[in-house]
Amino acid sequence: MSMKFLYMDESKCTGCLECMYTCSYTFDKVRDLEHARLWITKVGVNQYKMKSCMQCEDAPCMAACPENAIRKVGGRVIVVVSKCVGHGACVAACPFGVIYQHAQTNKAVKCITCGQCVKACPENALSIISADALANDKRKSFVKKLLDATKVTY
Amino acid sequence: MLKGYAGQILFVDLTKRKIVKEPLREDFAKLYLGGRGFNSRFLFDMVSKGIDPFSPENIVAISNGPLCGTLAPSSNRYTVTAKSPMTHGVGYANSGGHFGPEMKYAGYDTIVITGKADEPVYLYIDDASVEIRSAKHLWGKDTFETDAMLREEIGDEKIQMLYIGQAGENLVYFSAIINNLYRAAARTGVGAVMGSKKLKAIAVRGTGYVEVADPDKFDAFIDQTLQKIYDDPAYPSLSHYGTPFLIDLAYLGGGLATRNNQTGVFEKYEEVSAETFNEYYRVKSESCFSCPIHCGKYARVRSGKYKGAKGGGPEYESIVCIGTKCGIGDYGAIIYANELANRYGMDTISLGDTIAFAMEAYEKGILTKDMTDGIELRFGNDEALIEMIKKIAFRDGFGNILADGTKRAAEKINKGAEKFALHVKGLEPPAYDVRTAKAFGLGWATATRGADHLAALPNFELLGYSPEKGVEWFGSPKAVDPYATEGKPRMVYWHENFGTAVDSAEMCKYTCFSAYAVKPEDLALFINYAVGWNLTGNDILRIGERIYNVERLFNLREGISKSEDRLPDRFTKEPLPEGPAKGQVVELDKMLPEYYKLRQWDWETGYPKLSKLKELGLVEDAKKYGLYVK
Amino acid sequence: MGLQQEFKTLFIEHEKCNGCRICELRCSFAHERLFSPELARIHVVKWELDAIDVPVACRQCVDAPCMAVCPTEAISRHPETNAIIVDEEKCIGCKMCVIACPFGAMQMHPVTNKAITCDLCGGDPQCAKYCPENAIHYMTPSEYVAYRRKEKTKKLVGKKEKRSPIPQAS
Repeated sequence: MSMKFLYMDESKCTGCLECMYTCSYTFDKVRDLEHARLWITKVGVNQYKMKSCMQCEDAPCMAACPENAIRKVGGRVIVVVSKCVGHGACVAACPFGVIYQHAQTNKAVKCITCGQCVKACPENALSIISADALANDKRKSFVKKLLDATKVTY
Repeated sequence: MLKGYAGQILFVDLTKRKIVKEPLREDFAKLYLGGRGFNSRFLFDMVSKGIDPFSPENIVAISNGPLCGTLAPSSNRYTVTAKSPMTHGVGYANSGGHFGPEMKYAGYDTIVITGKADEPVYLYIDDASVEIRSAKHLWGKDTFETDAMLREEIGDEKIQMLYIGQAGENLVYFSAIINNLYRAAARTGVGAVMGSKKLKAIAVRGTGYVEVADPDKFDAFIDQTLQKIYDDPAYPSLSHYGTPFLIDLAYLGGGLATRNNQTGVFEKYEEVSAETFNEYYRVKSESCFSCPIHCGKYARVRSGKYKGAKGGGPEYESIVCIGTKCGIGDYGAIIYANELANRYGMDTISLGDTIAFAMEAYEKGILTKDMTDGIELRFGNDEALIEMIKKIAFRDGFGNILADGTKRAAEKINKGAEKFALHVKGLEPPAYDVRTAKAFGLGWATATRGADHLAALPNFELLGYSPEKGVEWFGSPKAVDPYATEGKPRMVYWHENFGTAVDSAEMCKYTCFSAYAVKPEDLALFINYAVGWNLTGNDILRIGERIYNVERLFNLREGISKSEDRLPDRFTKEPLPEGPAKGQVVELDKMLPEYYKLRQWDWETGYPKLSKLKELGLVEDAKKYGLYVK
Repeated sequence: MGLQQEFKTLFIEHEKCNGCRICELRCSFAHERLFSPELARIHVVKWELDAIDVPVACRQCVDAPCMAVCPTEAISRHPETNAIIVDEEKCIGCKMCVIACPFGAMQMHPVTNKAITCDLCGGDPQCAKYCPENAIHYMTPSEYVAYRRKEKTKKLVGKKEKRSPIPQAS
């Protein structure tokens, strides 16, 4: 089953952070950037990057957890809250730093592609997408650029 | 698990909105091979005698073949079958493009549509998921618009689709089913049957794979076959010029059908020659899936009255039927007319022929301006052609009469118009003037779906072979002479049997009937390596003969008797007036009796003999309806 | 100090592509012994209305973004062909390379969900071998530039290929 993940079209993001506020509200009932499971960082003038769980096939967090509290369910990597004891091994294992321990419960939290941030984004910059669809879109954009550049007309 | 095949048949009942999937049985596959074969069997079993082709009781069967989706050269076509509104017999049409393989990858060998939806719908197949969706927003749109709208709505660039245009919705008798914008399952009105079911389109997405039984032998045999295809003398013509090269061939033979076949010499030949197409209109090749021949072309009109017209084609058949047969020698008009035929979804052969017939009636004074909505239906009047095409698609005014095809239009018009209403069994004839190719003439008369060049496609007589080869293949040195009748019955018998098998394997006939790169024993090997069977060349011919006889039985059951195995008088009684083939007619009476003997069909009734039915395993079917002789 | 070694990669003359997708099937068959465009590492982007067909495959970038973003060093270069190679064991299927590739040439295998891309078939690319239009060339950049110069010159001097619509009997 192909893993879908949260993806941002960087050309559309305005850095309003509504996605982060909505995410934290969805799970913790407060609009607090510290509780978001995705991060928007400014990298230049009107340039923003988004970071969030990549829903890896061989997720290092899953491999690292001594309690087997991290599973793949329905194409997503999720934390089984009842099994998580707050080891933190997953936090250390993740190469992207997108899983962390909740400030109050100490349990692991991460993006589970619920889609609330996607709905909240006023610029439609976010989407939950499969690698296949993304590669397809990139191919199409590249071809459009190529044809414009070589001025193909018949 | 069957290799090669998808292994599954999809039944869709549009009345009950029910979807059923059944496994493909190996014994069934061995008897009927796939494609046209599967379809014809379903037609015979599911469509009772005498039903109205536009009623819910008719079916639309769509099949791809066992080699579909693989690298077997040019083997990715699909066939659509239904009871034809034009002939009331077996109707089928074959198309290339990219729909067949996607259907295979999705996991289906055949889709059988029955019943009728209560409102316009389309079928959406995404691998195992099958949905009937509303098409109210698509009804009334042409095929190009439908293609774009479905792509947007479904949101997947890689879907493949087939669809009907407004002509199919309006039950124009010769409506086509279009795929990939410019490919058509055109003949016998299968588009009208689809329209009668209120089915606008089928969209498929298939992410599966095809596995073959012996990949190494399969791959090696492909290499061998590719070499033969590339060595074919016709390869440079087909691959670069496309089917327009046949215009030159027909002209050289004196059979370039002109003005409703009144002559075989067209004074404006230069303007529709292959070189003219190549120089001024051809843009590039646009190929069917996994085909090394890529005969398909894309054309553009860069100047003149029809500047801006563009699209796939026009194919040789279209250049003649909506061109030279209407006295039109202008690629601009032909390309635009072809674009309209694709958009509205109509068979360019029947469409062109019917207009050409009307033009002759007008020239002879049988039709007058007040009858034709003020249109000057004269040969060569391209504006009249374009206007008539639009009127036919919408059954508007005089278009409503022509929309039923030549046979019925002639019956309505009367006044002797039947004399030049050219059709066999109700289906209008293709481009090649058969007075210059007698085996083709016999083929038109005997083909199960009506006047058809593809059922037999006996190119053997046109290829300039040595008399020795004529003896070797079909028992007569004269078999290599297109004007001779000797050897032709055997030629047509063999070609029809093999051609039916090729259609059922959904391979393109350009691999087989060009330089005979693929012969029955070769097709057998392809299938054996793909599926894991042990067929011989003779098995292939027998499978073809079986399917052909099932179609024959269907026709006989409908009351289409042997008297319909005939040709219009123009081809048997009116000699060509000029050119290299001056004086020629088709001596059908010299060929038909021997053909019947070879088929083992009774000369009086046209019914198959019991011995032949036994050989083909069709005794029960024939006995059930009394369609046999002892 | 000599010039840096030039490696052969796939150069695609997309104006010649007719959209037959034999390249996709050859790729799928060569790598998996199965026939499926989903398993191909080359894909033809199509716009049928304008008869546009453009095959897209890995550009074998000198400074490959896919290699740069990989968190587990699963992406390396083949010692002989210099093709991008993905180590399936090291790959964790994070899809960062899919995002990083500007061409959409990195994709995830539909079954293993690990990254795959064109590996030049180890030096004998099947797509280039079988393309009926000779639209795919396995050449070094210098070779390809020389080839294109020759083609352009042929066009400019109006050198026409001898051709006839009528088949020449063999």
